[in-house]
Amino acid sequence: MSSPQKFQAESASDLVLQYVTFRLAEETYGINVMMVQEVLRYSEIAPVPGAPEYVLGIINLRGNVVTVIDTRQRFGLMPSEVSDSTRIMIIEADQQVVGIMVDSVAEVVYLKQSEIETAPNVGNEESAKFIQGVCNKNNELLILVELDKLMSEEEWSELAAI
Amino acid sequence: MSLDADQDILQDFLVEAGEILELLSEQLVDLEQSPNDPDLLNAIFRGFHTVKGGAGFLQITPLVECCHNAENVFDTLRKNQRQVTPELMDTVLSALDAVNEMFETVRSDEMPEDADPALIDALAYYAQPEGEETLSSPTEEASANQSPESSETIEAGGDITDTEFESLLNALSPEDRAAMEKESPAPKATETAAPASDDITEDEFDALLDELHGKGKGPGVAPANKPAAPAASSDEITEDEFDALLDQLHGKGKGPGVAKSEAKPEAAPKAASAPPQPPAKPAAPPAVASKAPARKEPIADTTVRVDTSRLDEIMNMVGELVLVRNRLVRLGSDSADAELAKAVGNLDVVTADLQSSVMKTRMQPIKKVFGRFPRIIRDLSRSMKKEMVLEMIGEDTDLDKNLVEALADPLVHLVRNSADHGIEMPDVREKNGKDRVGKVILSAEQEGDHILLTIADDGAGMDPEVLKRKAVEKGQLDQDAADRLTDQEAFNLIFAAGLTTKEQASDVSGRGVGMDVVKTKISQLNGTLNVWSELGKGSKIIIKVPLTLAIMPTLMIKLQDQTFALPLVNVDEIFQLDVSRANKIDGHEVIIIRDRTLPLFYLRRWLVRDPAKREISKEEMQDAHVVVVAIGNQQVGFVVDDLIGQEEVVIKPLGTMLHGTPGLAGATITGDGRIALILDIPGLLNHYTGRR
Repeated sequence: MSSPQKFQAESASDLVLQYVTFRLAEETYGINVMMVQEVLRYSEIAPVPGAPEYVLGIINLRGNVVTVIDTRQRFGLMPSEVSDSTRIMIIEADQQVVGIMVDSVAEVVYLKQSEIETAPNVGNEESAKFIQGVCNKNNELLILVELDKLMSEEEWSELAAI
Repeated sequence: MSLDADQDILQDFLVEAGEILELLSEQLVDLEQSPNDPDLLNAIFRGFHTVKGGAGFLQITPLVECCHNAENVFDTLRKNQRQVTPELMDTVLSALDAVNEMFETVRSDEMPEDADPALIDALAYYAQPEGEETLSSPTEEASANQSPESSETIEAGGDITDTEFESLLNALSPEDRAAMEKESPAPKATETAAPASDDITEDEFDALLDELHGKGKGPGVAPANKPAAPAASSDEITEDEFDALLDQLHGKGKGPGVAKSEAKPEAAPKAASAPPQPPAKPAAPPAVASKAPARKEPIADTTVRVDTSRLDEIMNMVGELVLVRNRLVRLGSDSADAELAKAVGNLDVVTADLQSSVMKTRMQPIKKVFGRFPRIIRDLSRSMKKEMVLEMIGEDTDLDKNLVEALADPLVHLVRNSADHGIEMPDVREKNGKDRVGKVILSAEQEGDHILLTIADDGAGMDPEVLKRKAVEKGQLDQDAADRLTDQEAFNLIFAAGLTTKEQASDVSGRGVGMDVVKTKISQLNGTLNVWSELGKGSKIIIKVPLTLAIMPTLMIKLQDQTFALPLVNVDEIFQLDVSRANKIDGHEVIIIRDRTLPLFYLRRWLVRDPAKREISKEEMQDAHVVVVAIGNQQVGFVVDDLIGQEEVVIKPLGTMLHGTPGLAGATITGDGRIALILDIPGLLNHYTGRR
């Protein structure tokens, strides 16, 4: 890291952010903890006929109906079987509450603003557009997800086109 | 111009005054029936006065002026100086309309425009005692009880009436009355001073300061001329304006301090009997304390306003609690522990009670809608020169708040129809051997989990033949079809769009669109409409709506492992059938039931995601469950895997992401905590068959 950057970060008392990490396929991703309402074990998801493909269905969250998104499908990954560690993360983004299904949820990490780098422009487009940045922590790459984009305008037009 | 009033205070005013105005409309119509009822006159007077007080505080001058003039009219009425006449009522009612209109403007945070001067003049005219109109023109009358500052007219005038009102209320004893008569109208001018002291405690501190400067003698003169004034004024505070007073005390926190410094030098030298204003203030609350329990206790405010969304939240949680309870009940029945069984049993009872209590909080008496009808009937009978009375039954029937609001328009329409089309002119009625006065009956009653609303009249009734002929003329039916209709079916023609039996559309009804709208609205509420009529005897329209909108009766079905709910209103019948022998017309499968050909659809092909599971085997076909659903007058058959039964469900909206998914009306949570999708049958057919 270059020294001017470091200086800048320290002078701004370097904002510390908390991220919840989860795994999908072989990668670790992170979501800002403020957006995560809760993490649920996998429970039966009722499929919704006529819904977009990336919508797995709906679940009953204590009397409220919550839509669950197939994150693998959304990120252009191969589908996998539901396992014991499969979790549904209930997140609040763009003024709606949705669930995202992930392979497993790991921990909450503290990241300094200065540690976050913008994503290198590689990889397939499907997943690249949801990436806010990356962070190298303990020699592991953490991909930070931009949730608002996960349910952004494109999806609306997609919905409207049905 | 927008209002720059404190939003909280404005909201309080809107809510409170809104209720008063609603009440006023009822009371005014009642007044016409019993024009000499002093309680009613006082209630109306007080109503206008309270609205005026609130509006004055918010400085909505046009509203103040209109209310003030209306108030004056009732002041004259209660003093028996004038009799209630239909013309007077017309004026007062249009004043109420004007006030309502202004009120709506205020609601949208705008300053209303001044009332029609003609209306104000008319009110001022009626505010004069009968027979004295010629002696004093409205302007003179106004100036008679005016304080030197013309800006004070309104408050000062109002307070005079207050004081007199109180003395009238308190003392019906002859000497007091005599005293009052002596006083009015000549001593009014001197009396102005007395209210000036009321003014300080009651209405307007700012104005008061000016006034104290302007005519410093005010407080001194008051006790001398009218020893009763201070007592009366404190009464007034306790009764009407205590709240307003408190608001003022809080809102204009600076008031008392300023008043003290200003008032003391003025008042102190005058007279010992005239207490400086600030000490008088603290005296008022104790007066309230001693008075309130004695007179006003039963009307103590026990209500709380709650946002309906909060109620929905509670409802939701109660629903969850019920599910947890169900699970516990199941567990409890497995265990042999008697204590556990007892506890679960208790929980069972408590949750059931809780559920019904929460349901009840959403309920409102239908009076809220019915309340406006006396006025409507009264206006119609005057404008159409008919004679009719309205009878209301079961006003206390409770139903869901949303439903109360949704029913208002259709009911208004039906009542207007009854009055306009149903009830004949008095002469015609007499000729037919009926009472001159027509009767419209509006009734509500609960029947199980439904509400029955009946609008009946003893008017001319409907002629099925005329209806049929009209429908044929309009090209809505051919002659053959019309001939086959039963009378009952013919009556239902009135709901068809564009049909009217009136040759001439009036401003009341007769354009042929209203009933169509009524029908649509009622079906939106999952309700039904029935018409009964007998020529020459009258008509009756019966509306049946569910008690609440939140709960929908459905038929639960199964497709593979997933549960779906079909709205029961759409379901006509269910049967088992060997559909492998279904006929094919033009590539579409159809079945024939009782000589009717219905298109047949396999819901599984539409609604099961996994293509491998969509196909239906031969064995399944031979013993298929067919649900016949109706959309409008069209029927179709749906093949389903399994029938679960009838269930009342709470509709939960799908999230924004899934909103608008074709064929789905929402979701619901079944008794075992799983999710069932509620189908929107017209949408479903539209999307998957691409028809219509």
